[in-house]
Amino acid sequence: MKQLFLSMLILIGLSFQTINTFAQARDFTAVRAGVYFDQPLRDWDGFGFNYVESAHFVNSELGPERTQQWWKEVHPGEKTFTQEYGGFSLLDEKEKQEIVELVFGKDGLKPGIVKMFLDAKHQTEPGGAFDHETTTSHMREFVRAGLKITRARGADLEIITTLYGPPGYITIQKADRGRDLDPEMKEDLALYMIDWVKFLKEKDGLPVKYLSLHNEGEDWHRWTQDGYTDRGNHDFNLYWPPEQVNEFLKYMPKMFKKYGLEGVGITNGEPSNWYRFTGWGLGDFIADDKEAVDNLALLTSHGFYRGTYGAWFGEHNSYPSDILRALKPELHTWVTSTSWAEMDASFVKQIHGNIYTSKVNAIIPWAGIQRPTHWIGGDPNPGNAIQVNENGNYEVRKGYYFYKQASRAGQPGMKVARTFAMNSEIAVIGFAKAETDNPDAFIVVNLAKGKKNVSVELSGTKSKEFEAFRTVDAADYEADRYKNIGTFKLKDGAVDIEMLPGSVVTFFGK
Amino acid sequence: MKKLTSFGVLMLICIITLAQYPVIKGVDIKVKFDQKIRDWDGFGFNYVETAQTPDYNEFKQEYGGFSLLDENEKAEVIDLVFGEDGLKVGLVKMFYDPFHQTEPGGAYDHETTTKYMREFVRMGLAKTLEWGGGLNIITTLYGPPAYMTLQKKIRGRDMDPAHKGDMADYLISWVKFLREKEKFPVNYVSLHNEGEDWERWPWDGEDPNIGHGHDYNMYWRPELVNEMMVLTRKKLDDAGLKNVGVTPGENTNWYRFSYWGYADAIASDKKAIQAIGLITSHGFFSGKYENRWFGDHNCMGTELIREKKPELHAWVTSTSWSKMDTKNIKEMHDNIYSARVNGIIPWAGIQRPVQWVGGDPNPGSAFTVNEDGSYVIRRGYYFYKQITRPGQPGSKVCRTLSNDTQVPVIAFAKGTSDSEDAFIITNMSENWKKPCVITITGTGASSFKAFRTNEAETEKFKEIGTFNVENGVLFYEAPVGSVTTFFAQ
Repeated sequence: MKQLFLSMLILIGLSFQTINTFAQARDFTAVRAGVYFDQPLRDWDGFGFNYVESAHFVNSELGPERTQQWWKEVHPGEKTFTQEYGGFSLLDEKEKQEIVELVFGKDGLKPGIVKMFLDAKHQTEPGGAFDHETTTSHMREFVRAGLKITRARGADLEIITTLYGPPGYITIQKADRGRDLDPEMKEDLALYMIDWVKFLKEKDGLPVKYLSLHNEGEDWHRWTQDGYTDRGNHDFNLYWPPEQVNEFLKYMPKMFKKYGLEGVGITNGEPSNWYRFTGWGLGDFIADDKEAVDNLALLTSHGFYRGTYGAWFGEHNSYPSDILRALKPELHTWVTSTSWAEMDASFVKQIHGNIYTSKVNAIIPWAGIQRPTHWIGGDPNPGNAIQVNENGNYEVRKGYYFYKQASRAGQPGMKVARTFAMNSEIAVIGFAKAETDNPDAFIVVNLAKGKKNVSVELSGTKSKEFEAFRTVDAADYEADRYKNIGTFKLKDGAVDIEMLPGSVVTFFGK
Repeated sequence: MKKLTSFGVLMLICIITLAQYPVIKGVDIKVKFDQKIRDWDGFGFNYVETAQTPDYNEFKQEYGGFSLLDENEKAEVIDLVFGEDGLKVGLVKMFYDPFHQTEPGGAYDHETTTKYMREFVRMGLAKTLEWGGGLNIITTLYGPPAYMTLQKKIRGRDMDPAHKGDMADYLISWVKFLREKEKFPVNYVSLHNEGEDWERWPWDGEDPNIGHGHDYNMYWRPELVNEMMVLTRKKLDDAGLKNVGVTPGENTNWYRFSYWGYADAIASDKKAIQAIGLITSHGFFSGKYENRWFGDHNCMGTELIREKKPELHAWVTSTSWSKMDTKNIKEMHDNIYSARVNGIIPWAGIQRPVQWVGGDPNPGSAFTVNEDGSYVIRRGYYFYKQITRPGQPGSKVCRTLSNDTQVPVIAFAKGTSDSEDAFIITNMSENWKKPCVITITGTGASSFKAFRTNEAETEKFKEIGTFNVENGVLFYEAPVGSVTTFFAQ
């Protein structure tokens, strides 16, 4: 009898264990997810910010009908204007300080990286004088102020500067925004970039670490067949055939050395998206040239995502990083521009795709502060963190808060941690503290139109409690903006959270 | 004399007839037969017979439609799929439905619900052997018998742990039947068909949710996949089936395989790594984040496991025919080059639409069988043929480049196959024909014979002539909405 009783107890126990072992999280009431802080995938260099000042050759004569219409509506009667897309020129000192705090301050986004463009107007003729100030004063003011605040809180910035486009004289077309590099002007182009880097480092004291060769320069479709610009809404550019990229990867480090910039690394420029970098063969060209690989200091690409097939299709893809890291394992990869999407949860999902599928070490979104009337034809990527209006006001947009959910969790020096989530509308991003003073942190994204219970299993963290912050963008729900929603305790090795529709929640270990 | 740099050479190539500016003559395409990146096991075909019926006696489902065709028609279809001038598929997928056994240790009936599928494969195998080819068959557990589930119902959600051994025996009995009775070259057994999707049942698990659209299924947690791979491997070995490999089942898409924890679970379990014989997943693509069906062509899971077992091949065991157009071939391109697979089997290649309860959510196919006993060869057949003929078993996937996203390129080197070096140019554009400057390396061929299919349906794998390679370059203008396959002469 006693034995029978014992057997029954064991059976009851087994049946309980059976149900628990085979159930989805919390007995089919929650999405099972996980963060393995003990499985670091990659170094994390940080999130970034990009202030865009001068981006076009401003000319109302050029452009398709819709651009002409834009001129009539936004700049009636004007044939030209002094472009200042970031909008600092409209703000007073107090407003500027507020924005710099919002971005770089201890309670702000806390980016670790800044991108600065080198526009096409710093020199007009071979050997001519450089004017690095006129078209960059507000961008540099922004970065100088940001660096100061960043250093004041004990951190630092890494700056990448990207050739947006060269002066017309450097092109074969000898025209503004000509398509092709004149081979005779190769050294002039190198000096154009070098003088700018020296200026930033020596005059402004900015920690420029990388020089990037181009901004979407792979796209040979953006000119007329004979190489001229027929649309004024195109931003600066130059066509960079893969062979030309390699040529400059090998050439620039010698020039850096010659001009005392040994500490500056060269990158391959920035294709429009990871698919182009992969399928267009740009990664292969570099990998096939040992000297180019040896000289490559950082791999860069834009990470714009488009999931429908067509000319702009762009998936997240790690192929270039994979083949180049096979040759140079220490190579880091940065996304140097990516969309703010709808400034919602899908924006953070794109960040997830860039981190986990494209395998990057850092992300800098497209222009974080924008003055809409100063992008000719209207910015095709109008999302941002902050918008400056023509009346001198600024607006902190929801993109700021969604970005903050990611940027504060992923501080420079942390490690990307492996994650999973058994529902494709839920994405999880994890950052392990590694050697930094930051806490282990993870981000849960809910893309769905409905609530989702999520149970996040954690391993490899010492934290037993997590402080959580939430941003929400969904009809019928309060618009939380990086709102502290309390402390969550580990239960059975997992943190349980009811995710509101269109929400992102960031958890910081305590 | 100054050293002529590669940049200088480039400029010389671009500057045609001393023009003032470099003239871009078209899309720059490179086909590198000398850069073989992966073994290719072939393209496949899947005949689906019994998929949804909760009670076979009440509804004898026969989705493939062979039961409606006369012998002449069946022979025609077989010739179109397996014949020397047909698709020449190398892979076949055969489902294993839940009606082969009703109780633990009970007798097996492997015939009643599989008659037409087996007839199709039997005829296909004979046809393939006739021209000297061979087939590689994978069989997939669609769903287990009711008694193996906790719910004790057909399409019950949860595995009853008391019946794990019965399930492994169930798999092995079918494999032995196919190999010994039918003499089919079954080389892989796959544990499930989209069994990762725990949301296809009400969350209390009571209702099997069958009879109004869902096909067979069971929920497979990552831990269960590992456990059953190990157990099935052992039982296969014990049954003398050491050459039959176990696969981890087939998630709905590569994203789920990579990021739902399945690949991680396998990669972190030494016994599972030892047991796995082939990576399998469905390759359905949905690029938008708008709902839970998002699925990109993602190689993260495959690469994670290949780190532990580099020789592993990966197959797509189901993928959409989409709109049976150029974009469908782009999906194939992305399964090959982004998901990094070694074989592709699309979803049901021959379909009898009225027999899918609720209407098939993937209605593209190569053939449709009508209720009047006729059949239709759809344009999906011809677009598929553009890739199946060059991608024969034993060929090698080669690296390709194209600096136009609307013009993806696939290439297969001959390898040990009976095909030739071949490449496929797709133009997805609806508006622009695409002049292509195709630089070809690593082949001895000086000319290529080309065949084309277009969305206008005026060309169906039509021979369009021979193109010469001059100085390593082949010039070709790809019409809008077309796929062109070039075979080395």
